[in-house]
Amino acid sequence: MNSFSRRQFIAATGAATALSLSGPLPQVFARTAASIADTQAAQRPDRILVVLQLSGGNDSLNTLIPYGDDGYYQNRFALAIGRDQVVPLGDYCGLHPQLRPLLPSLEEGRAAFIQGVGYPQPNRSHFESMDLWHTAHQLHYKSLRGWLGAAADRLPDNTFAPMLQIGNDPIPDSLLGQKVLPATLVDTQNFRRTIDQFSAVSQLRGLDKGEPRSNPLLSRLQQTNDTADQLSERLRAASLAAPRSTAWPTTGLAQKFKQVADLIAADLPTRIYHVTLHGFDTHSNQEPAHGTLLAEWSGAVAAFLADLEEQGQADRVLVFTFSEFGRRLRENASRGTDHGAAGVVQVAGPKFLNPLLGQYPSLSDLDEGDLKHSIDYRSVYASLLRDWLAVDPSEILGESFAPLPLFQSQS
Amino acid sequence: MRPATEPAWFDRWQPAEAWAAWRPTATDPWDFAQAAHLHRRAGFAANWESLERDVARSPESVIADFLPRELTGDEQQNLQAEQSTGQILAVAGEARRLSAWWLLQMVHSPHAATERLTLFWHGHFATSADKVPEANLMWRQYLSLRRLAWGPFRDLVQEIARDPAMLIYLDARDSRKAKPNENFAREVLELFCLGTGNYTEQDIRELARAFTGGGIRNGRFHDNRYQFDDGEKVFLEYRGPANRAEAIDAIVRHDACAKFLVWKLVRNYVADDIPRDHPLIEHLATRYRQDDLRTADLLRQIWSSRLFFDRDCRGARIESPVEMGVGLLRSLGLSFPMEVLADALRELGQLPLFPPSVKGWDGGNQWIDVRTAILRSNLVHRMIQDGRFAGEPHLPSWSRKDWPAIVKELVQLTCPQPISEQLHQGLVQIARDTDGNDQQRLAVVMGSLATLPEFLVA
Repeated sequence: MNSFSRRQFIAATGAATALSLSGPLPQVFARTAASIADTQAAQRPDRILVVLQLSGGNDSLNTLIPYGDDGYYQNRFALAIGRDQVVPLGDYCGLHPQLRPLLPSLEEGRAAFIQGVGYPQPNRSHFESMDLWHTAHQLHYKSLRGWLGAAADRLPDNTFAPMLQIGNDPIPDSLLGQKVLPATLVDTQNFRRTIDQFSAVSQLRGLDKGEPRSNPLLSRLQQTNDTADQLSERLRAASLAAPRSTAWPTTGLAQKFKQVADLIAADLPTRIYHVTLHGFDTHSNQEPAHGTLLAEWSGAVAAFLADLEEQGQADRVLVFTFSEFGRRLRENASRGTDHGAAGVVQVAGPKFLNPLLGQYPSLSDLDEGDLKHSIDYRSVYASLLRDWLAVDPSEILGESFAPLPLFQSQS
Repeated sequence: MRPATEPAWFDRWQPAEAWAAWRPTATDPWDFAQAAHLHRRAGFAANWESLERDVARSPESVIADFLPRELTGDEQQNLQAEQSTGQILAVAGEARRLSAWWLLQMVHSPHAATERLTLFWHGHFATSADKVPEANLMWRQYLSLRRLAWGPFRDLVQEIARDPAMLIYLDARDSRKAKPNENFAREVLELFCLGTGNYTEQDIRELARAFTGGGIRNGRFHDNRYQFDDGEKVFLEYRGPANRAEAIDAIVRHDACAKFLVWKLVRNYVADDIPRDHPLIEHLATRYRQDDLRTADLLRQIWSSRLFFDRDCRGARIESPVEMGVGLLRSLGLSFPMEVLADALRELGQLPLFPPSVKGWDGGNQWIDVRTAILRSNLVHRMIQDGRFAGEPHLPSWSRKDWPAIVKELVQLTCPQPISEQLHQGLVQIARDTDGNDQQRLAVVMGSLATLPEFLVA
């Protein structure tokens, strides 16, 4: 048996809390340990993690805006969001106006921003930094070990499509595990072979499935084709699920989230979904493009949460939103911002400890003009793995990253 | 899936032996399968007649045909006639149709290897028409890449560093002395010339200063000397007042450059999963440096090598969508609406002129997942069902309608690895059971063959 028993879980928690976070522990994390350990894990073996990747390096300073800090206005001229426009979350920082759709969830405690997330020796290359986030820093060439893929390898029931990417982006390295393969869906309606009505074709598919192949590349492709056949069959059965009433924005991202909601409603056993929103590399004329992206993001996530609420699945699904890095404090000459370091992570779905987790990075103590991190992203991963997916994080991340307390007890 | 520790097929080879010229023997002959492999890798898949003809020649002379040479007057005229259509589409601002035109060139051009190599460089210096509004600039970039594809890498980078489409794509226009734009400098080091780990953030900042002042005026590169930072820059092993061209020369001279390029080319032509620091790469890089980074010399050596003709090399790469679509049309003598093919290739993840990011196409394992596996077999089915044959499919047994023989020939033509007798019988059964005419039957057989792993590799 492969599942993570309660006793193992408590042992792992004990070991992890004995270690400290890589940075100083922020005040807000005073409530930790036992109460949180009781809350999650193993209670619901069917929790779902939806990962939203903001590609290009989201400007966290214009996402969660430190409007109470003059340093922000001294470094942002063309791009500053005025104090009167920020949606305040306390006296220091607040939301870009286009993120207002997330406000109700933040107020209910069903969404949170984790501030100052990054890693030591920040890499400012998109691909390198995204690689680090995808592989949790275990960069070795042929590793085929993304953090989510490694998690899926360890899920108790992972035989059928445990990970799905929605949209026709290339499969991100984060989904590459050693045992289970990720899959991509664009259009759930037409996911079928045009030749599948021929009975001799199904016979050939059956023969191919049983064909012994020693060549590793060929046997991997064989497995992919076999999963494709099975998934196609499941989706045809799922297309009969009952309709729901949530109004969805017409944006591309909202349509992707709607597909995820449909698949969850259809009871697909998938545990990890991956969605990407591109366009955050705002070197020039950042506004209004960035605001439009934030609106697309917040509108899609808000509708998704509403749909899950209607389905009665809200406690089962967590949306985790990240970007490969934040951007430089000082804007550039092209009314844009260049690659930076620490940024924000956003989580939504279940009840969180606090809508603002961690501390806002200092705007005066910088690393080559960029914000410094106080929370290592791997501590966030550790929490999502242990407290959400009930997977032992030490097998994936090693022992050095204690899970960050995120959740409120679901009593 | 192979654990990271298990050796790959190419790990068996010592570098000096691997890259030595292959000599066919009685037990390791130059045959139909090797000729098909050479075409599939160096250019695009070839039809039955060309392969039979090439088996009767020597591999050296077939390889020589792939390499560049002075065109005769007639060939020059033909090329100009073909390219005039592309030119018209470019001027008309039709980037999507221009992409379809390029696909058609890959199918019909007598210079398949040049188009294939140009496609490689396009992925290397990735620029997307999604962000470059003027199709004409994409067209001029294509012509530059094609013209300089085989020559010294230095000339190619120099051209790209002044290429308007590239500068627009990377937001690298109008970088000013007071606030140098680092984006272009970063990509030159990371993606174009050296690869990660061979430079520092400080190198990027210094190099960005050498690229200040460059912009575009009337669709052409323009140097604004008032915005150029002429102070001393220190990057890599260089110290001096470098301008754009001098900076590029300094980067291309760096030891890591040859190695990075050899790795990218070997991934494209030999093994898509070879590590960057593999001894096979290092060995070839030394030679590439000695040859002044002349890509034609490097490719001749790769295509002539024992490693390239190793039987395990056949089918060791996942075939890219373009290779599959173009190869199918070429190998069967089929024609199909290219704009429809272009749309399908975009779904499969590889539409020329529209790479997904500045990193180009990752390829390899990324090409195939459950979605694209289904889409590939659907596309193959559709291309044959809706396509037109010039006369008849180019298969020796076609006229006899001998389906067991036809299936065998289709596998020889389109699969680098043989399929089992059982699968062969399964395909023959499909041909027998399918209603409709012979073309419809062929479409279902090929669509089914395309669900097999042996078809998906190259």
